[in-house]
This record gives sequence, C-alpha cells and structure tokens, in this order.
Amino acid sequence: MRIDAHAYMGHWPFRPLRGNTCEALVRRLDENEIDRALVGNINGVFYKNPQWANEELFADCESFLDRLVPFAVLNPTYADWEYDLEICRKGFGMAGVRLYPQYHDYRILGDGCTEAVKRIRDAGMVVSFSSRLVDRRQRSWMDSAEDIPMKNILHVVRQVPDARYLILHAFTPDFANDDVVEAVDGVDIQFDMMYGTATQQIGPVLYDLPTGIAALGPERFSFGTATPFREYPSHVIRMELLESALADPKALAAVWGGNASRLLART
Amino acid sequence: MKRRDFMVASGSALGAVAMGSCMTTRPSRPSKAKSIMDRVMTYRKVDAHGHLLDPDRPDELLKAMDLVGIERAAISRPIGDNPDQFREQNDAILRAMKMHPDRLLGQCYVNPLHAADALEEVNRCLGEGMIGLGELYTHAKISNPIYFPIVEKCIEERASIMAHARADLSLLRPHHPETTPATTSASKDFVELAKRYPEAIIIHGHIGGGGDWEHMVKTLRDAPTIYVDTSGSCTDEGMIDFAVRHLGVDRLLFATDINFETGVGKILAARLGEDDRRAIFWGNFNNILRLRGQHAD
Ligand SMILES: [Zn+2]
Repeated sequence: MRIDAHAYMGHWPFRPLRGNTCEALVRRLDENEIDRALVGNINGVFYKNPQWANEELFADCESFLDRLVPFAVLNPTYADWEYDLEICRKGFGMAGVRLYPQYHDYRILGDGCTEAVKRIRDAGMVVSFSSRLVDRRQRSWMDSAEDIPMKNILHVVRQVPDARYLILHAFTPDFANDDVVEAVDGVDIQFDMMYGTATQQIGPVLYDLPTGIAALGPERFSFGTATPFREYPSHVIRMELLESALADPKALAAVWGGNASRLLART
Repeated sequence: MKRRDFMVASGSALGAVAMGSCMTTRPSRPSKAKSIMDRVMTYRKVDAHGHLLDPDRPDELLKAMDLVGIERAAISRPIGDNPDQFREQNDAILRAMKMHPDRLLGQCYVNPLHAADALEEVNRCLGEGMIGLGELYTHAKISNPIYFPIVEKCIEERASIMAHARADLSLLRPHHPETTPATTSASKDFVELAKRYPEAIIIHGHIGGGGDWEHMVKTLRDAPTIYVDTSGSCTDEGMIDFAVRHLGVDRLLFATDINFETGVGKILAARLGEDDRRAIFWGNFNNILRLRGQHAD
C-alpha cells in the first residue's frame, strides 16, 4: 500500500494551486499509483474560525473516503474549539488534527499548545505540526509566519510522549542527532521525507534520508509530497532512489505506506 | 446505508479502514514508479549549475549524477573571499575536470572585489578549459561595474556567466529585514547587465533557489538574451510552466544545484512537449557550450 501522508485541498492566498480539490487529488494519486492520501484544507490556516474549512473538506472528500483520509485544521486558541474537535472526530471521522501555531497566532511553546496536544491525543487523533507551508525565502509580504524549528516540535513531543505525531515539512539538517534520537525514543511519531535525499549530496535544505532512517528506524518516515504545492514526480523519484539505498525491502514498504497505515489503524 | 451515515455510525473514516469494508487498495501496481525511472533515464541531461561538495571526491558526484542519468555537469565551488581561497577552489574543479573530462565541466568562481586577481584567475581558468564563470556569489551585484572587465573577457571567449540570484523581500522591498546580503544579485541586476552587454551569455542562477520565482520570471521576461537555470530546492508545481510561458523554452537550462531528485522531477512534471523537454534537459545548454566548442554530440 502506498500512502501520501501529506496532501492538501483548498486555496493558497498567494498563488493559485492546480488540482486543489479532493477529486483532482484522487486523479493525481491514480496517475502516480498511490493508494491513499492524508488530506487537510489549506483554507483552515486562514479562516479565523477554521471549522468552516473542516466542513468544506468533509463535503469535498465525502465521495472519496476510500482513498482520502481527512485531517482537520483547528486553532486551539479559538472559541469553542473542543466542540469542533468533537465534530471533526465523531461527525466527520477525521483521523488527525493539523496545528499551525505559526499562522494561528499562538506559540508552540506556550499559550496552551501542550494542553491542546493532550486534548487531541485523548480524542484518539493524530497530532500534526508543520514546520512551514512554503519556503520562507519566497514568502508573500503578507505571510509573516516563521518556520517552526524541529527542536520546538520535539519539545512538545517530550512533554506529551504518549500522543501520536505526524510531522510535515519535516526538516532538520541531522536526523541522526542525539537530541532527535532521544526525543522520539518510544514515541509514535513519523516525519514526512520531502526534504530528504537518497543521492548522498546534501545541502542547506536537504538531509541524507538513508542516514535518518538508519538513526531513527524506518518506522519514523513516511512518503509525503505537499501536493499540490509541490510537483509530484520528484517525490516518486526519491522513493525509487531510496529503494537502492536501503538494504531491507521491508523498510521501503514501511516508508511507502506501512507506517502511515499503522498510524491510522490505531485511530 | 449511505456512506456518510456509515462513516458517522462507525465513528470514523478509519473505523471503516480497520474493518476492511471500504478500503480500496488499487488492484495492480504495474510499476508506474518503475516507469518513472525509465522516463528519467530517457533524456540526455547536462546540468548547467552543479557543485562539487567534496573537492577530493568527484566520483561521489558522478555517482549521484548517474542515479538520475545526468551525463555532464557544470560545477563550481563558490567558497571563500580572498584570491588564495578562490584559486584553491578552482584548482579543485580543474582537477575534477581533468579526471572526468567527458562528464565534468568547470565554472570559474571569483570574488570580483579583488579586481586584478579575479580577472587574472578568469583568464587562467578559461585558458585551462573551463566553460565560463559560476557560481558568482554575493560579493557584488552582477551589474556592478567591477564585473565589466570580466564580462568583456567572457564575451571575447564566448564563455557563459552564471551567477547566484535571489528574490527575497529584503532585496525587492528594502524595508523588510535583510535575509540575504544587500549585494546579492536580484533579477533586475541581470537585466541591467544584459542591456549593457547584449552579446554576453548570462545565466540567471536557480529560479528555484529561494525567492519569489514569479517575480524573477516577470522581471526577466523582456530581457531575451538572459538564460535561466531551473535549479534550486524549490520545486513548486507550475514553476517551470510559468517560466516557459513567459520566457519561452529556449531560455531555460536544466540544472540541479545538487538537488538531484527534484532537479529532474520538476522538468518531468512540467507540461511540455517532448522536444521542448529535451531542449531544456540537454539541447539549450549544449548549444551554449557549442559556441566554445565544448559541446557533446
Ligand atoms: Zn546559489
């Protein structure tokens, strides 16, 4: 099973995105032979009350629930969010919650973020942080959100180690760093692999994926593309190159979808 | 039961997954993924903007190039500010070129603020068979007159001039906090140079190198002598299509800036005819190299 753990529908205010509906996403999955995708609504990042976006997502993906797994976007500093969490979970069957402190005007280290993570954990849902939505170098003058450093995400993980996590736009120059290894030890956490490379040629925003996998274990990484922000073929090429870089075919299958599947099965 | 009722009743879309009742695994996987590597390998490729990470291990670079079927790569090591430092980097490139003359093409890196040494180094590197300059960095804007003697030398030699370009807000709208030195070349600086020297072979580095690529492309649209390389870590869907639409296929040069998977993937993702894709991957830059007799056939 191949699962794209990082997909979107909805609008990005600063540039039109192609194929940004659930229907188009399913077509894209078909074209690339991907079985399923975890999808959230970008609009939820920008609406004051993100629940509108969750309602839109549910309506848009309702006919594709055999292929798409909806993730809510919620702002735990907005009124009555716990009620919306309940609706997202029980009414819409959403599997997780994407949190965007950098866009929703609260700090990941403070402002009740840890409490919110616990609440999502208790609802049986996956907690998803995203380091960014776009490269800061090309941001709009209206987009003042800063990247969330991995160390801040891991700080939350240390405080709530029994939640389940999916980290999107996951980047740290060194996944083999002791701090990362120690923070994720025993935690059900996965990182998308969109900034990894299997060519051994690393750069300022490229880490060595096989090294990361060796340090944290193949169960920590999931195929994820940020579609439709990013084009698709690059990610498939990366997985193909990873295949020759990993000795164990089971490890590759885990990254392709086994891990995401396991994360969802526990929901 | 309607699907919606079922989902609500089961408590979760994933409840359904766990029950196995409505999960669809696509029946067969004939290896579209395999075929993507077939597609990757279909195209001859020459990389217009590459780097040698380990000066003593060009073989490591060749290995990465082989993984995505890059036949030749133009490489540089833009590190260091003083003449001893840039000479040392160029020496490493010359050694690599000589070890793999059919695969590696050299781009000469200098700091133009050391004007006399820089010009002398350009003469030396072109004399030793480098194809041009690159990756000129952030010491001075590419339109700075300090570059003029070097540019004139390159015109004489039919050598290309590739420079690092950014479009950060701090360059475009100076009231924003600085995220790259103010001396970094922005697209308009390339346009200024091209106006002064229309015969120069100017390559605007990495439209995907971080920065507002739409702004870059729009700024370069009406400067038809400037080439644009497609490298950089940014792999936004639609970026290449936008560049093709406004600049035309002939001005685009495939490049990686050592982002191999995405470097190739973004060109495969673009909505291009096959001849156009081949032109970007190979033909356009090979034609530039032809001007100096350094092309491959
Ligand atoms: Zn650069």
